[in-house]
Amino acid sequence: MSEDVEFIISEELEETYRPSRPIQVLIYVILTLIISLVMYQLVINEMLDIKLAVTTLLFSLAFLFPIIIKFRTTLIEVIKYGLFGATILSIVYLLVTRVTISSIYDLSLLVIFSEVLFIELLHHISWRFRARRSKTLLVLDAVLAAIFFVSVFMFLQFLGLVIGGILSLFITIVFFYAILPERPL
Amino acid sequence: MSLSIFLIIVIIGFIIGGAVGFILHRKTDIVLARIIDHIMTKYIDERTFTAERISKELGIDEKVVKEKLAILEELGLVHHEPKRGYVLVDPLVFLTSRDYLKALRITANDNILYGGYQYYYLANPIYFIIQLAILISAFLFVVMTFFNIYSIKTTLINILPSQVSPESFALFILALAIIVTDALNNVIKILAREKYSVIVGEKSGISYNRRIGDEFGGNIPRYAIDRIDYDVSLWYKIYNLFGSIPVGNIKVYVKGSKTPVIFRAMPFPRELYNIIKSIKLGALQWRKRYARTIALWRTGVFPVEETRRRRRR
Repeated sequence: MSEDVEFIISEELEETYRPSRPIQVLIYVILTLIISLVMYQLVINEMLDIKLAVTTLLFSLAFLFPIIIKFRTTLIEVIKYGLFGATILSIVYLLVTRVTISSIYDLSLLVIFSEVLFIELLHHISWRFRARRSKTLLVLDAVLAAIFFVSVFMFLQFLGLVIGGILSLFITIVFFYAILPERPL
Repeated sequence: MSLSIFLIIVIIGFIIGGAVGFILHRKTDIVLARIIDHIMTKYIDERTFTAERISKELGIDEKVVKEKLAILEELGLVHHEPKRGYVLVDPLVFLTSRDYLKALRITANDNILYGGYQYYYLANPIYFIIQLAILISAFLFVVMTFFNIYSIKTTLINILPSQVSPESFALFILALAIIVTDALNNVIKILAREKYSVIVGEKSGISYNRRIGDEFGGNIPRYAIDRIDYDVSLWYKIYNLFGSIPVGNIKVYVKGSKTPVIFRAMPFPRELYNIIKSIKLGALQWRKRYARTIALWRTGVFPVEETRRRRRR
């Protein structure tokens, strides 16, 4: 005989496994305060420059946000992407103003670093970019991989055309494999 | 002055990023929602349909229907077969398209109610520590290079070609560490798919891989299920607070055997527990009741707040 099992599914399946929304926000606020205090102490003790401290704070906040805040609302998405935008621009500013670009090698290495940071942080904050296999995103990944290959090769060319080329290709394959859209589960 | 410029740049970055986030998430995809609603209520038993039929039934242009079905296929909610058309996949099936087809073949086209992988390695603290160690080591290398701790910067200057600055090289190493960690994560996921697939079919019971390339060699028929236990260890409880997917262990006791078959780190274990319980009892009324809700959650088609408001009305 068939009987109905009491089986209640929440509208947001994940919510039943996660801390409540106020607790998530509270944890995030506490961590924000702790990191801010540490940065403040480092700045007033002249151990860290204020711009570097702000960038570190922004990066930590952007990195921690999707790990701690698990619910989705428009405001949450705006904050998440906002932190991402602020972090990326502040890092680019620091790289341009702080790191000495004395040769094409330096330029290529910094392009690689910025590209990896940009795409990995974007994947980290948004499942849309991490998991969707749309043509646009695949083309974007291919373009990023091409830029990555050229940059790595520009750096490794001192090893010679063959060894430098093979090594660049191998590193680019790893990069492309890492950034390819993946299934969320 | 320079600090003010920096802060203005940061604020501009936040505004641009925030605007992109707003544009991407402000709108509910009404057409997609209508299609999900329709297929999850009308085709939950029949399961197969064509884009043409959906187009006629809903009065939406066929091209638009195909575009939306392509999104659902990407998200694993429908499967497209050139000869049969579209096949509706139950929303608690998290298998890749290839594994779903395999599961259908092995179970002779049974209704697959749940499909997932045991995320034993992904949710393992040791694996987590390895990932963290790679990233922290690379980060420390950057810090040590920038501040010339233990003369790392000097050593790098001696080793590297004269045109390469040690700072740029250190940042390159950090970038490599990030992509290696990500690629490692993908490899682990592929291994999980090859070795740790678990499916629950309406009639076929629980089928699972016992080793790599096993093709669902392990099977527990539904009549053989004696008892089910749901167990979430302390580490999994912590992992579930912050990890990408909630996991837990499911122990299935088979009639005539004292040792249970344990499925470790299964995604959404509470739901899996209930599904196994329901196939054991032959009670699947919940499926029709919740298919639409779970499908909408899977696609993220509505901003959650909006869905709640609508339901209250």
